Amino acid sequence: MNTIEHIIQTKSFDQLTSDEIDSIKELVANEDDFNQMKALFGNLADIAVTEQFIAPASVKKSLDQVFLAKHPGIMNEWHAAAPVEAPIVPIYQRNWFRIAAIFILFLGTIPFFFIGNNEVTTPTQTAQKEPVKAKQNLQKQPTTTLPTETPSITEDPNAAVYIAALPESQPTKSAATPFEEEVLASSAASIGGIEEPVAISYRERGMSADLFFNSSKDLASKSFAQPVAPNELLSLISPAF
Amino acid sequence: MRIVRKEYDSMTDEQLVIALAGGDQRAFDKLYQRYANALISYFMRMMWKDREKAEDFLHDLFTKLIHRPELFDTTRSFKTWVYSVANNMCKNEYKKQAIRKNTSNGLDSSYPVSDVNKNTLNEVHHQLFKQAFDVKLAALDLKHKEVFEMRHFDGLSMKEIADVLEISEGTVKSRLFYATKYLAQGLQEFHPEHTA
Repeated sequence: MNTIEHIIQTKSFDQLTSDEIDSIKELVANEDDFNQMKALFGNLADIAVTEQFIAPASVKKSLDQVFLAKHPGIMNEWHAAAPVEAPIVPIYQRNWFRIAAIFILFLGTIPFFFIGNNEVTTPTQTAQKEPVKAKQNLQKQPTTTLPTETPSITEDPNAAVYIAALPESQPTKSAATPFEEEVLASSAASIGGIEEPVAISYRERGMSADLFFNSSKDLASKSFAQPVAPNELLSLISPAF
Repeated sequence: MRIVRKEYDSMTDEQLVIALAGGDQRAFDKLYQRYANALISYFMRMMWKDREKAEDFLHDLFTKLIHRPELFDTTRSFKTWVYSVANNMCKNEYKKQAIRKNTSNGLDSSYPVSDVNKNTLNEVHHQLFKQAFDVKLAALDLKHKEVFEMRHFDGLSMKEIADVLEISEGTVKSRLFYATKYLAQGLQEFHPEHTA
């Protein structure tokens, strides 16, 4: 209908297209009807303006009172800023709590720091002291005679051999890792010159490492040689018939 | 502290009603501003130009909205809903009085916005046409009259009229065409060819 009114008000009958005539044919049958409608809509536009009335302010004032009675407290301060309360922050998200937690963690790690240093430095120190003792003993040997044939357990002349047997990639003792130094020191103390030096590498780590490097038994990587050759075992087999 | 400001001008009628239900005074002001003049014009036409009655009806309608905003279904159009409420109020008033007043008896010249008393040829023509139009419109059946007025004076679409009156769009269209033809034929004397 809006388009029909628009067509009738803006166009003359001669200007109508076939589509527009189809759309208005329900309301307008011929040119006379079209002109009647055109005149009616033109006058209606004027009437529509005069038919508009303005609501009096007294009605609005009365309605404001009704609104105030319905919503007391809101209307009086409707223009006021709405306060927003500070959000509740959990204690573990507060800054002072975080700082305190970091401080406590720092204090708690100090004892472990010193303990770790002791564990590392002890074998290094012994490994460095042992060769010095061995050298001193070697220097004393020509001048003094041993009371018995068995060597002293505390004096290990082979320690220097172990140290000298280190590969060239480790030019100095100080460059050895704590693990290597510990192994060397402990093995030198346990062998004590009684057992022959065995070319066993204790520098392997992980699955290849010898877990019993302090023991005098041939275990694990120390001994892979079979006591009896397979050919000799085969010779023991004799036919039963 | 934080100030939350709403853009009431950009809010839809339905959003304003929701805000009004929560006690938002400015939402009510904006809604009143949008519909007060249109509704009082509607009531003036439907209540035989009785201004006091029109104002009372306008007051009652908005009071109903303030006290019971839940009556409005937010899934519907507020414009359709408010006109349907206004239409029902008028029909109840018709039943209450059980008679229909003739609009020619209740003309009140103090309400028009423009001054129509200027003694010019166009103004005289307009005044005469308006009187004749009112007579013809009063002679129309109510169902045709209300459709015609809603379409041409309240600016409602076919669908909105159908929703307000709870009838089909086809019925609205046929009633509107009937009323338009009736008025066009009855006001032939104001056709430019006749007046020239």
